[in-house]
Amino acid sequence: MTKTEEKRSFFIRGPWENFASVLIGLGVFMLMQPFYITLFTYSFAVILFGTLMYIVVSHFPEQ
Amino acid sequence: MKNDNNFVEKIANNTPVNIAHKIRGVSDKTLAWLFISPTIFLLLAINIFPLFWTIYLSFTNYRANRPGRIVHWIGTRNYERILGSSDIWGYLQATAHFVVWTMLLQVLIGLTLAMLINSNFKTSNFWTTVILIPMMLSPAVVGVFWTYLFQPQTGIFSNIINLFVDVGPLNMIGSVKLAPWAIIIVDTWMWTPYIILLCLAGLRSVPQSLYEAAEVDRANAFQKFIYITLPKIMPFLMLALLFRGIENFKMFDMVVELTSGGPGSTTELASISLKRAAFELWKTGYSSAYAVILFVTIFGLGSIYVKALNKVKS
Repeated sequence: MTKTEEKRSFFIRGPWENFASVLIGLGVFMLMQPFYITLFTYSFAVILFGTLMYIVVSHFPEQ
Repeated sequence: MKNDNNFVEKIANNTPVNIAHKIRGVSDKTLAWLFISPTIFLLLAINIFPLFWTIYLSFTNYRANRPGRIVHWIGTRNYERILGSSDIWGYLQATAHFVVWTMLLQVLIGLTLAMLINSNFKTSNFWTTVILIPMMLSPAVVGVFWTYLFQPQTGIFSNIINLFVDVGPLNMIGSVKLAPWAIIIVDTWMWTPYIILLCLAGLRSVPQSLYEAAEVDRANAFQKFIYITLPKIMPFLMLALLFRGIENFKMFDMVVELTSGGPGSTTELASISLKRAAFELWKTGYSSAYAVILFVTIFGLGSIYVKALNKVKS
């Protein structure tokens, strides 16, 4: 496998989209959980990062 | 191409002579842009501009009730105050309590009723119509009439509960412990039909041959449900869950009519506290930051929703 092909197989949409979705879900949980206020404080950063990541990775090729 | 030229010619013929030659020189692409530009301008003015304006205001100390005051750029201070506030944390927990319980109850009741309706008993069509009525009502109307139903002395709800358990007059809206459950009951009553509809769509898409094959293999009803029905309707259920989750996260009108966020701030959901910060305390910059936080959260959840929707489509 050439370096370009390796790069291409790394930037495929599916797994990255799933990772971004997990980040968004984690952020929403942190925002609304009743346990630690520290988690609440950092929740927005996690959701924002996940959402921006989702927007970027949804433009990756499918294969 | 000929048709397009005819179209341009037609417009030119209906235009005053002194500017008709300008129209004749217009390309198809320019003409298309000319037609859609008012819509694009309206969309930018109504949707995009307020969004960016809100994001800008969220970094300032602007107050809408003091128009002459100098507006200062305060960086991320509004965000820091919101994300460090135990009050806002409490409102989001109240929202989470509402969202989780409504989703759970709606899925359990919705799926059960959908399976019942799908069994095609004699009057199933009639009951499907009856069950769908609450979904067609306005949330404000639902809030008002449930306020009457929840009246402790004269309301039907309290009387029905007292038929089974002797607890005396039940003050659903005025009690700190019961008020969060009052809004959950009303939302479940109103939106379970939506889950029923989606589950019915899922149930009717399951091929009958799968059940017949399972019967040959001597599978019981529980096994058929776990291994055939549930996997087949799961995408529809996920879609319903996500949609209801996003909608309930934004819930405002029905809860305002029912409890106005009370007693105290027991049922003050995120959207109600946002409205209070913006239009009662007039902290516009602060509430803009709050709105941006809620917007990003809903936008993130919306992205997952679209992904789930595409999965169902495929």
